[in-house]
Amino acid sequence: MKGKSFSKMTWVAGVPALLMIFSACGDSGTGGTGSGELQVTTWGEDYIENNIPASAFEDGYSVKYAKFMIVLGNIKIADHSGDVGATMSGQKVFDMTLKGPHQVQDFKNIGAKRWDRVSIEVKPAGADTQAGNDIDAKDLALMKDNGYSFYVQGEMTKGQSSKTFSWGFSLSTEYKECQRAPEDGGEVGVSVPDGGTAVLQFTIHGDHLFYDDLASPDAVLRGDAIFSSDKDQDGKITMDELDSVDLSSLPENEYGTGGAPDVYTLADFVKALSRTVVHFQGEGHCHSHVED
Amino acid sequence: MPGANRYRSHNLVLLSFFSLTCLFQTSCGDTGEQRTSFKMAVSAPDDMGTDFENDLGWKVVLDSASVVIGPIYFFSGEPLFSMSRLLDWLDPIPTAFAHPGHYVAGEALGQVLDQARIDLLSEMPQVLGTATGVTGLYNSARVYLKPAGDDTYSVLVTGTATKDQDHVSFKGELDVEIKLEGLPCGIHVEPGKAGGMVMFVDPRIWLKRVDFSTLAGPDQDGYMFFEKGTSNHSAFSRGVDNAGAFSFSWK
Repeated sequence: MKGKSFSKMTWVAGVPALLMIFSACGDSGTGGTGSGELQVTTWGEDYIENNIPASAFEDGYSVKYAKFMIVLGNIKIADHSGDVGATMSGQKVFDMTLKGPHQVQDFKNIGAKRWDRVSIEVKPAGADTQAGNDIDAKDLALMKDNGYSFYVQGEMTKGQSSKTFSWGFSLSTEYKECQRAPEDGGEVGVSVPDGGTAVLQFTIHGDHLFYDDLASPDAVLRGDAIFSSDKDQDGKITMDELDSVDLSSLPENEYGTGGAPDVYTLADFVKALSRTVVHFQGEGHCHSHVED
Repeated sequence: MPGANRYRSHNLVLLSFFSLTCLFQTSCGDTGEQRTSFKMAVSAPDDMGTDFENDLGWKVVLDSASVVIGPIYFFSGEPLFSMSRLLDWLDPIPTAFAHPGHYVAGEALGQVLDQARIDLLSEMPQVLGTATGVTGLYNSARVYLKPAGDDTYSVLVTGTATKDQDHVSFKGELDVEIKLEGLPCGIHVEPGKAGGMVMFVDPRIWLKRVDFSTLAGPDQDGYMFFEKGTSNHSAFSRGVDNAGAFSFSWK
């Protein structure tokens, strides 16, 4: 994510620092005999809770989300030997526009050691899916009735022009082998201190839906192609309209797929990006595995 | 072209070729890895004929399809993108979708430094060269397509496209270097494993999204062509850059 505010970076940097202190008191490897507590949280940061400012975009757009709902579930805290410390079965829907961080699950009496195989799934909501935070009942029903795993609604603005969008995704993605960002130490997984509490955050990056490349480290946020896809000029950018924009109609140096197969339209592109929004402890990342 | 029979013989040729290949392996300390070398071949997929229909309804017959390939590097890191449906018949490997800038190649395991022009319509498999490296899981690959020697192109394809009453004789050519990063490979290179590795390249993917009705030309040879800066050139170059056109197997 680019263009973070100082407060956001401070928050993100603070959690790893605390965890490093805790883990230093416990076991440095994956072994250990005591137990501790692991609080699993999620947070949408300023970009989702407030807005993505025009300064973050290459072409002057800004985005404000009205809804950013994601279904999180099947959390697994394990290690490379196959030892499973804790699991969360079932799923919860979170509206990340609400002020967070939000608690996802609290694991008590989990083995005090480093768990280096942390994973979570984003899957379509089902009948048993519960509200994870103060999500509106109508929104929960929207997710269940349509089988969405991820839904965003918001507004893009440039100058005096604005258009709205509401896109639902029914994709299943597993994020596994989560690891801190190199600048935060690069630890794989999470260390639970003996008799203490560790905090693990699945951080949701709202700007990813507007990246202009699926692979390049030089990807930037770009809004013009998406904004211009509103073919019927009704002020609403639909997924069908995104699907009508073949990537070959865009400049060759934009919307590079990095070799991704079966990504031909802007809708394909945004769907591919939707599988990248879950991060780990701020800027860390997980391997994102396609499940459908 | 004899179609399926061509590819049965194709496989037999590969099998006999690799059965004569002697793997060279020596211990590499106590890391568990061993130095190894094996032959690397390139071929069109087994199920490919010369005619197909693209996404826009054009019936395409290929007259030629060449690509200049090499070098190739193999890594332990997870592939950059999900496995193509074209690969379903191969050994299953984990699927992964990337994040901009997050591809991690991991440990370098092997390399093929040779470079050769590969005729993808050849009835014979094309030997690219000898791979050298260490044993292990060759999880992903970096492949270069770039002009070399007398070849001024990295990719060249000619053929005829037909839709309704339109018949277009076309020529597609890319003269730039293309680096394909994090291609799914998923092959365990094991000590004493007989055979060699084959990389399949499917030129049908290159033309999957091309609208042949708007090509430029004709050129001096009578071909309609992909003019740089046009949507068709973009569709062609994006097709060549599509990881779904590449897959690996051990035979």
